[in-house]
Amino acid sequence: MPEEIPEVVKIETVPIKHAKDHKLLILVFASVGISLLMVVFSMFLYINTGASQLDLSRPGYVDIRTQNGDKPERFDGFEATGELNKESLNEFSKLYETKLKEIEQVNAFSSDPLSPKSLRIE
Amino acid sequence: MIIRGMKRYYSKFSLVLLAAAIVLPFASVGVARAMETATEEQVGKVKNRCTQLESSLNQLERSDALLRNNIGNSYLTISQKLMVPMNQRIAANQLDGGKLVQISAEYKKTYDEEFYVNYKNYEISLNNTLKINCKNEPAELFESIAATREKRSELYDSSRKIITIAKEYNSEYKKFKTEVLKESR
Repeated sequence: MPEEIPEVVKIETVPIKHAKDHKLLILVFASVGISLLMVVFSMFLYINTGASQLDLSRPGYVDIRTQNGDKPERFDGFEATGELNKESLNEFSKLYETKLKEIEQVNAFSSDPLSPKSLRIE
Repeated sequence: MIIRGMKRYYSKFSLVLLAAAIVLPFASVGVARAMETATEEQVGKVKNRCTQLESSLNQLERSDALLRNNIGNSYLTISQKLMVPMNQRIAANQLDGGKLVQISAEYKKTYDEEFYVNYKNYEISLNNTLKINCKNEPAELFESIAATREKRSELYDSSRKIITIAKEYNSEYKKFKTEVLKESR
């Protein structure tokens, strides 16, 4: 009887994939995910705070932007420092009354363009 | 153990955040509905004037955006470049301008809480009206126009209120000026 030679069991190490091995991929996906979240959140703020309604840079407002750019009148206002004498008091009166007249003349949103009569659907 | 628990907590938390970020932008946008209902005749007219109506509403949205921009700037200018500096100068000169400060605070509050908010509501309502299909939903369009009209009227009221407060400040300022000039003599 020949001597039995014990079989040698060769154990191979199977590489276990850990998250550590995909650091770069995780970083990329996490960055994309975070930036997407931030975009959605900023859009939420943009729409809900009313900023979108005031934004004339929206598409379709080009001509309005041009009209608005026609009168970039600079108004410095009244100085917050200094004496309050006859001259400065009169200066303020003049400035204030000019601006007051401006807003009174415009009488914003006074017309009724949405009435059935105006739209001719009465 | 603790780390695993935290990881689970953070993954749940980020899922909730993601869901909220997706859902919230749409939550407050709803089509404004008015109680006013259209008659058969009105529905017919809306259908017939579909193109003109859409064009008028589009034009109105654009012109109101410009108006809002300009008038909003004028309202803010009065507050930021006239009322506030005057109040500061009064305080620096140790004079009594309590009433003027009170009126300017009311002015700013009306701008922020009424004019700003009312324009936002009006714009949303007008935008939703523009989304309604004129041919398929004429009655809905009519109702939505009525609701938007209501919002525009509220906007006009807040605009009038701002002007009234601005006038009030002016008349109070005139009294203040007379007092100061009388004392300086």
